[in-house]
Formats: sequence, structure tokens, C-alpha cells
Amino acid sequence: MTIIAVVLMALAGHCVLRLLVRRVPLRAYGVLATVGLSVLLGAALIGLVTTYAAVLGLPTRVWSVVGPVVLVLAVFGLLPSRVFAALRLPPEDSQPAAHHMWLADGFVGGAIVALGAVLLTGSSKLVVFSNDEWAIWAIRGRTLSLAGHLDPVVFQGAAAQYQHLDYPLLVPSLIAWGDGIAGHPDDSAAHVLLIVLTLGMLAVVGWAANRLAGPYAGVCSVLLIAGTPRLLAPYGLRVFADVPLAAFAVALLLVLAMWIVHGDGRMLAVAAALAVGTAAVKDEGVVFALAGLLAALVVPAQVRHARRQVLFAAATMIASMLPWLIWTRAHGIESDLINSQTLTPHHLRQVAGYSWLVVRLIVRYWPGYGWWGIAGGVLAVVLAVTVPRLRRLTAYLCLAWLIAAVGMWAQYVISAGRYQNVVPIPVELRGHFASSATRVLLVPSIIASLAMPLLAGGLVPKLRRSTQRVSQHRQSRTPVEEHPATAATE
Amino acid sequence: MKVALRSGTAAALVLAALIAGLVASIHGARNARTEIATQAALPRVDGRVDVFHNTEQTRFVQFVVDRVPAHDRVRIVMAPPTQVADQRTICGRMPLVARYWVLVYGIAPRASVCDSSARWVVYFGVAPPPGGTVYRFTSNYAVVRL
Repeated sequence: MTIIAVVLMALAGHCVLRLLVRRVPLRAYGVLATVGLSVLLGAALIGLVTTYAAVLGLPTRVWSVVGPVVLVLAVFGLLPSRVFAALRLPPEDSQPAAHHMWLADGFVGGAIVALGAVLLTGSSKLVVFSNDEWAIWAIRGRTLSLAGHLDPVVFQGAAAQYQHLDYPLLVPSLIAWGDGIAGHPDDSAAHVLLIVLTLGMLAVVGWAANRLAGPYAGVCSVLLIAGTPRLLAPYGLRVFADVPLAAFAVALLLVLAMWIVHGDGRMLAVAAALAVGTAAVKDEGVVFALAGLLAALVVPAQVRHARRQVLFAAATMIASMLPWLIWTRAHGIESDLINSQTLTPHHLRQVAGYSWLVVRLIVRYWPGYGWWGIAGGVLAVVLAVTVPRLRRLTAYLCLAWLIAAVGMWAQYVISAGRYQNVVPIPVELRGHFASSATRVLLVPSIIASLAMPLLAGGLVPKLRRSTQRVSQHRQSRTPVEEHPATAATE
Repeated sequence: MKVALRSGTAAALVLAALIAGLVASIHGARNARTEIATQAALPRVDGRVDVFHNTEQTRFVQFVVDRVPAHDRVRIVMAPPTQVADQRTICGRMPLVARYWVLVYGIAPRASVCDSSARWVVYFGVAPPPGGTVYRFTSNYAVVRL
């Protein structure tokens, strides 16, 4: 049953992807992009439909609303192209960034299959087993699947102290989806659906990195991300939202990079959908999605109306959040961290003095590869800025990282002092970091890790030229005429 | 010369990243296998994981589920942990007690409330007072229908 839940989710996501790219994704973008993006977009779809059904007062049990929608889309996505042609979708003039890199993609696929085997073998034994699972994510998922509506006690805190009531519903929706397909609460399905998101992200990253920086960047990026401390285990094996958030956010950043470098308008449409998913996982998702979109606004693709298109993508994301935001505000629910108490001038003045302590704690809890990783990333940036064709990608990555990191810094500073009646602020901050930082800082940490393969990888011409095969309609006669991101020489 | 140096440095960086990623992902994969094995080996009571590390408490969760209808509200009465200074009751703003959330999760979708909407009271480690219809599991674990 878990396999059916995953396949239906991916097929529905495939339909969304096909509508966004206006081509058969498998033919246009290959296996890695199709599978990875389908899984992520399917999850976003389930999260969004469940959320909208819930706030409209419709049943949240799978076979009431969500299941039929997913089933219809799953089937629709497999229909012949002439059916899609009949929809008369607006034409997309840009060429798809469709380089065929069988060998490089094969290495990425092999790495993902190996990691998938490690994570999924024995996953039937995985159970809901830790505090955030019981108290935040699984309880809400089980309420959606068993109670079948937004029970005010659980989702509004009407009569008890349930935690983080403002968190969006994508992860609980996936738990409910797994339960609904299984016909009973199924811890294993919940875990598998979230693990599949991680694997989907790795597929998107490997696919995009190969096309952004050459054939060694893909497998290198996948391994670097998979090796991020605590990502695969324990966080990746728990019903937490942090790794799914990283899955959406990192995929979004790489797809946006594809749009910036290749100018393929379809990638911006996909990025908008991934931004919707990113914002639907957790509050921090809005910061990470905005980090990518703001960076793309500053360093857009060199196409007509590029900035206007980015703003439209951002507006789509914000519009998708509105139903949940309106519902939570209508019931007096605010973020535990950024709210009307912590955003007052008095509070901000009070906590401003702890800004440097927060910086030091970020450095201490940074969930990356330590100083060697940071030094390698900085060196890759320094090398890349000396090459004109890599400057846009470098600027985009640096900006996205900076906005994401500053966003997390601001969140920790602003939310300090919430319990100052009970504990001194420095003690509270240290406790907050110890309990959350290695999860919350995953996204900026991964962006930093990717600097090495994405930027240095683009400077290894001979290695790349020997294995890369570019599809016929894109292939240029001389290296100089190739696309700037894939040109083998300067 | 300059381009060659840059390309060489870049190649070295990519190689270093590949090795670091490979080593770290193997380490991560090992951790994942350990985590899965740990969870697979968790003690179980009647097929359910003994999350309380207490057979009586884990069986009591099923006892509650069997007696309280799925959509009824419950009030939970639980002894405050002795090591926590804040001794207020759960509904008066409880101290963070993992076993409270384990219990709430275990009996979902029976929502835990503190007000008069509760139709049942779950006594978890506390002897129920006289009155109401008492479904007793053991002396300190019982469900009372109000």
C-alpha cells in the first residue's frame, strides 16, 4: 500500500509537471528531473489540496477530496499529448534545458538508488518515536486522517496546549495520505513518503548540477548533501518537517539556477510550484523560498520580462499560502517565534544586544562540513568570479545563501527572550539552538556545500567535454557558441 | 598558465568535494542503518512499541482506545514529574512532559481538552476519585465516563 501511495503521489506530480513544462517531461528533461520533480510536486499538491479542503470545512480523509483529485491528475498526466494540446496552454518560446548526459545522470541515479536502498530497506519497522513527531507532526497527521477535519482542539489549541499551531499542513497531509491509502494509521508509510522526498531532492540536484557545472558536479552534489551531518539519520528517518523542507528549498534553488543560466522559462514555472511547496512545509520555508526568489530577482535570467516573471512566481507562492494564513489568523493563531509580541520595538531593542551571540551560536551549530567545507566553498567562489560566464551563477548562489542565513539569524534574534520570565535570554538562546539549529540551518548549510561542485565543477573543462553529450538541437559548432553555462572553454 | 592553475585548483576542489561527500554519505548511511536497526529492535507490547518503557502504561493506551469513542474529548490527569519544579497540572500550563504527548498521540483522534467539553477523564498514574462510571485498568490507571 505504501508503494501505491508513493506512485499515485508521483503520478499526480507528473501531471502538474507536464502542465508546467508543456511537454512530456521524460522526453524533454530525462528520468532524473522527471522522477525528482514529480515526487516533490505531487507532495506539494497533496499538501495544498488537503489544506484547502480543511480550511473550507471539507473532509480531510483521503477518499473524500484529496484522493479523487490525485487519482484524476495521475491518470490525466498519462494521456496522449493531443489531449494536452487541446487545453491550448499559453505557448513557451524558450528552448528546454534538455541536455542529455546519460553517463553523468547514470552515476547520480546509481548513488540515489544506493542511498534509497539504505534508507528504505527495513523502513516498515520505523515508528513514530520522538517528541516532535508525537507532539507536532504525527498528531496533526493522524487527526487529519482519523478525525477527518481541523479539530479545533488540535489545530486551534482551543482547549489544550498543542504546539506550533501555525505550522502549515504539508507534512501532516502526507501522513494522512499514507494512512488513507493504507486504510489505517501507518507509521511506515509516513516515513517512506518523507524519505522519498529526500530522494526526489537528490535527483533534482544531481540533474541540475550536471547541467549547470558539468558531469562530475551531479554525483558530487548528491553525495555532499547526503553526507550533511544528521540529514540521512536521524532527521531523514523521522517524521520531522526539516528534511522535507530542505528537499523543497534546495530543489527550488537549483531549478531557479537552471532558469537563470539556461533561460528556460519552464524552469521558472516549476520553481514557482516548488516555492509553493517550500512555503507549505514549515514557517522557515517562506524565508528560504524568498531567498531563492529574491536572489533570482537581483540576478535574473537574461530573457525578456525576467524580473516580472520572478515577481509573478513570488506572488503565486504568497497566494498559495493565503488560505492557511487567513484561517490561522482568523482563529488567533500566531507563530511561536515571530509574532505580535516579539515584533514590538521594545522587544526588538531588548534582543538586539544578543545579535552577536546568535552569530557565534550559528557558527557553533552549523550543520555542515566544518571550516574545511567553508574554506573550499569560499575558494570556489573566488575562482568562479574570475570567469565571466560563472559570475551570474556565483552571484545567485551567494545571494541566496546570504538571504537564507540572515533570515535564520533574524529569526533566532527576534524570537529570543520569549521565556525571559523563566530563564535568562542567553540560556534560552543556547537551549533554542541546541534543540533546533542543526535542523533549521540545514538549507543554508547545503547551499554552502553546493558551492564547491557547482562553481568549481564549471571550471573543469576537459573532464566535462569528454563525457557530456548535448542534444542535437542545442549543440553548437564551436565551444564558444555553446550555452554560457556549458561552454567548455572561455 | 593562469587558466591552467585555475582549472587545476577547481579540479582539486571537485575531487576533494567528491571524496568528502563520499566519506560523509557512507557515514550517514551507516547511521541510517543503525537508526533503522535500533527502531526495529524496540521492545513491543502486544505489537505496539513500548514507547513509555513501561508495559502497563503502553497497554493502558490500548485500553483507553478500546473504551473511548474516537470523536469524544478526554481530559488527562497525570502526576507531575517529581524532578520538575513546575508542579502545576497539565491543563494549568503543564511542564514539558514527553509522556503526556505520547499519550495524546497514542489515543488520537480523541483530543485532549481541559474544559467541560471532556466526556471522559483519563487517569494516568493517578488513582481516580469516586464518582462517574469508572473503567479501571489498574489502581492508578483508569478511564472515567463523566
